[in-house]
Amino acid sequence: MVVTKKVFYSLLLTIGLCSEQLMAMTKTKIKTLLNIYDQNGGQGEQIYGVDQRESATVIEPMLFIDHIIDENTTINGHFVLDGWTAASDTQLDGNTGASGGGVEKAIEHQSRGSAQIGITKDYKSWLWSSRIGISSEYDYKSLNFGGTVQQNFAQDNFVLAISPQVFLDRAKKYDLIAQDVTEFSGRTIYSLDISASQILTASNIVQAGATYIHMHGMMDNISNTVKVLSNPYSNALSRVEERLPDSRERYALSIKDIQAFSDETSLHAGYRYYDDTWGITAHTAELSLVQSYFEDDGLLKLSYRHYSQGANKYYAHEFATSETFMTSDSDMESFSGNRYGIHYGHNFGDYTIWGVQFVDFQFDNAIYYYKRSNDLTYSIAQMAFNVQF
Amino acid sequence: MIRTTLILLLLLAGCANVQQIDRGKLSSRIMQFDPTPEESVFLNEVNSYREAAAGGSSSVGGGCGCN
Repeated sequence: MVVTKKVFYSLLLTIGLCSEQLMAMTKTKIKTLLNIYDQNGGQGEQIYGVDQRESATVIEPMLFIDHIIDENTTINGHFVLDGWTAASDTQLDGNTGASGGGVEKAIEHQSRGSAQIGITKDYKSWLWSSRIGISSEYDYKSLNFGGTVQQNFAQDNFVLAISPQVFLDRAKKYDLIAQDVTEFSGRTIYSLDISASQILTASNIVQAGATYIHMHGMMDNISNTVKVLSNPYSNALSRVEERLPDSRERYALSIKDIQAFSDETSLHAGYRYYDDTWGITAHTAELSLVQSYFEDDGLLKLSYRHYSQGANKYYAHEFATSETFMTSDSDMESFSGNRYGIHYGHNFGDYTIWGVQFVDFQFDNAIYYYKRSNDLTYSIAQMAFNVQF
Repeated sequence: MIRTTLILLLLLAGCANVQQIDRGKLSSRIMQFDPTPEESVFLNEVNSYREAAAGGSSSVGGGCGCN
């Protein structure tokens, strides 16, 4: 805890120094992005109580800052604040579901803050980047590090990148008997991404990647519960906390191809295969049509994403007997989902606002709609302003 | 899986080169692997909440109305 506080204040100091430097120098790019997420569902078997509604709303503003220090060095920052309401939270603590809470204990602070800063340097055909990040909410804390080493080969036709990451996380659970959240338990995650891209022709480029993730520690979701048969004569069911193994190995392979049909139009096609030690196998296919307008000042992206997964081997709607590992999380059962999206961004060129000259003032809007086969839908709206000075 | 990855990498590395002068189209925004990277951060976050095959590579915690 003490270590986390020290790191937090060090990060704040670094962010402050970076901000001062950002204001004093040019070649800075700032993007503000507002994300609004609205979810509805009615089959959340994991939700405590009889109401299985999975309604949730999230408002999440983000700030991205990139600053070029010299021709080889860029520093960047990514800051997030979010707040949410969730119908399922009301089942646990009698809360209204509104952010901020209104009860004495348990789920009171439905908000999250996170910050990440990093530096990227390139030299000849090499590129290095490293980053440090923190995230904090009432039931979750994270201190994480990551980096990328990239090298270009064959006159930049072939690019190989390796990205390791470490997450030192802590999370809480909700104790149904004590009617309160527990103390923090540790969870450590190591991940390794390897990707390679190759220019195939003057209008086609392909990328392949592999990911390995090792997770160890408390993996249960804070408020997930399962129903266990407590009286076989009356078929009475009682609720107990979800129980999941304390380790998980995850593997993924992906490939993506981009084909240009003209100087203004391209088609992006991607596929990802996933497998893990909890018995989940998943397939993701994505297709996007990207079109530029007004001599590249406008960008339209139409996207479709299909996802399907098999069930977690510990999943069941309800359990006849108490087992070592049990979950009824609707995100862990077998389902398929489709997401449709449209994004439009437009660069309005140079603007002067309150005497400050902004370069490449850009405005982006996007909306997405997702529907899952196990009765869950969500919509996302995104709005962004992007300036350079 | 390691063997599959190595085969894929070798296949990619074995391709013919496209000269710098012919790469004008490839440097345009429509040819970027992710033409909207900042917006993708939130989309990936949502994937990690709602799909068992996503996540693990970002610190998105247990919030977001996880149930």
